[in-house]
Amino acid sequence: MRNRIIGAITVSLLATIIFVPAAPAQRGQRGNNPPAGPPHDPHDLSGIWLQRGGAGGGPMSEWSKEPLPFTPAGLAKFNANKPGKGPRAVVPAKGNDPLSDANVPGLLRTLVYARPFQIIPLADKIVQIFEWDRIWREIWIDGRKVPEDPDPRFYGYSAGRWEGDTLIVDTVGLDPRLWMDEWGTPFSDDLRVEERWRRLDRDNMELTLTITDPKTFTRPWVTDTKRFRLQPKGSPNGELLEVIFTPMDEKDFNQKIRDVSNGVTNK
Amino acid sequence: MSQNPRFSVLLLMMVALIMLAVPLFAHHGTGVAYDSKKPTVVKGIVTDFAWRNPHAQLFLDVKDESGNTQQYAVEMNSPGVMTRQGWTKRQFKAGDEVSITVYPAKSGAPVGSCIGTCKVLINGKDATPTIAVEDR
Repeated sequence: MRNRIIGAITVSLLATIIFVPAAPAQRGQRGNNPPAGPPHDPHDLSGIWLQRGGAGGGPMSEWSKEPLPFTPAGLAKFNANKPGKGPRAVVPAKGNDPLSDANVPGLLRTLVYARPFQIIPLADKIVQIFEWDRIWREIWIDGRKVPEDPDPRFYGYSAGRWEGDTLIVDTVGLDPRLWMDEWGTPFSDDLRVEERWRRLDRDNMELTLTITDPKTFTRPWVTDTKRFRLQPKGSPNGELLEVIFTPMDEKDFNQKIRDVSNGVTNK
Repeated sequence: MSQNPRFSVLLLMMVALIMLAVPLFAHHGTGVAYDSKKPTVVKGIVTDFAWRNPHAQLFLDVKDESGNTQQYAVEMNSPGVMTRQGWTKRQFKAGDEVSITVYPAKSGAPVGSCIGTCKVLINGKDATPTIAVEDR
């Protein structure tokens, strides 16, 4: 009996020592939790935000814990995409991730990946500045609608409106040569995205997407909810850095590391 | 849980190590190329440190079992992540004596990865980063 009690105490102490410091470090949140503060304006999303706890995901996509309802054409495209990450990861030298050639990630892949971004609300639009590739997008809130037949853009064309405390953003015109996430989830030029942004309190915000793309999916589907935390000034993520992947750096990295690590010398 | 405290502690530590290791690899683009089950200590002399995206690269001259010098490349975090760990392009300089724990390439190529908070000694001084942040 005495041994069991000593064992239980030892295990509890070790669990405290091991897990308590590790958990926030894994989330990149150590030491930057702002104190409980003043009330917030739910219509003001300004600040630097970082997704909490990594992207998550399920068997197919970082956006969903559930399998995706692919059409036959969508599934064929999904199978043709060879990502370097996720459940279907292949060694990068044998993959076809657009990022391996230093292409931009595009809007959806940027949103699902845990890099800081800043939101700057203006009178007629909301500007979202992404650290990843040092790129911005505009969400027009001047009453306009998204175009019916948009030209392709890597970051799309977005128009937003407030419904209660939720910012609803319609996005169209996303270039389908890019992927929806790190795991190679495809989409077509028919894709329409409804983003629902909601600031829960001063420090926490959440995002859910509704994906409508009849060429790729048999029905509209709703993503998992992604949660973001405000990054206060002075914290590790409290300022945006320059994170740009250039072709010359990517080529150098492929030659010296990526291909060599896979035993590929002439790709 | 076992009634043997020593077994309980060992089991708990193993689970903790797995929990710490997996997320770091899961977010890394070339992670599938490396063997996360074989952390390996590599010792060598720095010849170059490339502070570049997508990931920084450390190049070492290491000696094999026969005493021959071979170049070993270490894939590290991106400069942005390293900046948030308090590192700079001056973290390593040519001639530094380095001991670094890497996950070696499965292919057997002289390449390893040091992502997250792997153990690093520079000229005998512990330089292991203390903040782990998500990486591409």
